[in-house]
Amino acid sequence: MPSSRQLIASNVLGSSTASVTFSSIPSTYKDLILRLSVRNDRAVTDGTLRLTINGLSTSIYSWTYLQGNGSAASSARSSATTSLSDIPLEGSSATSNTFSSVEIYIPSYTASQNKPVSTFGANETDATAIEIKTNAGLITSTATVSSITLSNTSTFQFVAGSSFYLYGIKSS
Amino acid sequence: MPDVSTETAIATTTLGSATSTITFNSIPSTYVDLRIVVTGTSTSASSFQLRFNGVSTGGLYSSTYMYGNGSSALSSQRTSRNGGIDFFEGTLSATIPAVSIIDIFSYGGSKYKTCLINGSLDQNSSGQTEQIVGLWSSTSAITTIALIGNGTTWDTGTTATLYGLL
Amino acid sequence: MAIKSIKNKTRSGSLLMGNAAYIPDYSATWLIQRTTLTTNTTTITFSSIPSTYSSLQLRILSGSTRAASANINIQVNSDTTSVYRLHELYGSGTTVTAAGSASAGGVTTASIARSTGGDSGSNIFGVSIIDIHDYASSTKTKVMRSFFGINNNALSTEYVGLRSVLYNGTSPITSLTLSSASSTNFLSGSTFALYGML
Repeated sequence: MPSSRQLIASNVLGSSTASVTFSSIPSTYKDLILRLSVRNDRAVTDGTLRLTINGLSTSIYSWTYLQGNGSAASSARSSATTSLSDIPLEGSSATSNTFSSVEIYIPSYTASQNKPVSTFGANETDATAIEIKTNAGLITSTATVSSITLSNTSTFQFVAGSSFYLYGIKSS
Repeated sequence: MPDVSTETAIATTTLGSATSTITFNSIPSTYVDLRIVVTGTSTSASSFQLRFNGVSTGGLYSSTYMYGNGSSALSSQRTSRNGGIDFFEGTLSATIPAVSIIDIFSYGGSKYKTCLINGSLDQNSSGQTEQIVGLWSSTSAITTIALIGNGTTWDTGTTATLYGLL
Repeated sequence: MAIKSIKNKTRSGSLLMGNAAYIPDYSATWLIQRTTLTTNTTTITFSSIPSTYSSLQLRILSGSTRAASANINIQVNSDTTSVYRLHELYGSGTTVTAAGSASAGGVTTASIARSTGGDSGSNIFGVSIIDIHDYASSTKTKVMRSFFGINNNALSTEYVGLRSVLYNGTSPITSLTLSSASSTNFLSGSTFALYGML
């Protein structure tokens, strides 16, 4: 019997790019999962990527995170922002050839309700200070998620080799 | 031997009216692990429990959890509980859905049953992210799972889906 | 004979109508191998891991012969050089701790999760889910991310935690070796399952 998890689309970058968009997401699944291995050209170890849906960049995104930085645990939140953020993204100061590992779960993406989002990710590097983080997100939109855009802050770009996989989860 | 396709949806429910209990009955023994994804709201705030085989006595449930509430990283535990493994430790909203992803290991095995739960409850200036390990101190195979609002209800529109993993 | 139709994602297996329809399997998750121990065992190795997936997932249910809970160490491709780095965030039921391996240049192995020990009794095992993205890449280092836990109804130290391990090498992962720390063994009944995701 076919698995409930099915690969919808993938993108492995051959060159740097500012953003990656999954568009025309079919509405035939129950949940969506993104699995990412990403790095950008910002001169930091621990950066953040941004997620928006349906081209919406209004103040409909919020989140609460729990983080370990290699020596201390902390929690913070952000409300009414223009993208879902504080999602681990390895920067160019991290150990060479090292990309962050992230999974983003978007349940009930076609339901006429606001969208909770669950994220678990890690930036790793050969140093004491890193970022391992879980993030409870919220997208205040009752629309079906038909596109997802992952982007960088400012003018930074995802580097070649960054990979993006979108899965659909069927409920029957 | 060729790789085996896995991860199959067993049952799903979407509430047409508020109810205190969502139940998965007659769970087949075909799989090795189970996963439940529940996305829901509640008008009556917190206290939800994961109960197995209808067992609600004997203090057989316990959990350890870690959570971030937007200002602090905290950990606590619950021991010898009767009603079930506590999840959605944070306060649910009547209008903003939260999600818990529950992984139950070796549900048909001869050991006590352990699960991992990842909960996301952000409500735009409140809420939390929580990670839970729960235990049902029973060697019985799991045949029924109930998601219980302890003195509260799941609202209309709440969905829960049960998956089996080979 | 030409394919009659693939609009419904079916085609005849031998291109002859009347035969059972061929329904493509779009499954993204595949069980590569599961090992359930029948005796106490020092190490578990998944070898000849196919390169055909985009990521791997390990699901572990394990106990150890150690008196207290034990780390589960992981090695890639039998590499025992100083190329691993560990970081973690965990709750004990009272406090939350963030820590990491301090050695510059990494360590020779890294602990990706935990097994229960004798102080949890004989019926309780620890559990963990470990993800490795782009494991078959020949240009990326390998980052392993885990969610793990031990609960024993406060019999002894409990953990709910998140770990990340860096394998600072770019070779594709063809084998993974798991061992129980402090020269202990995994208990009979422990289960280790390796999945591939497309």
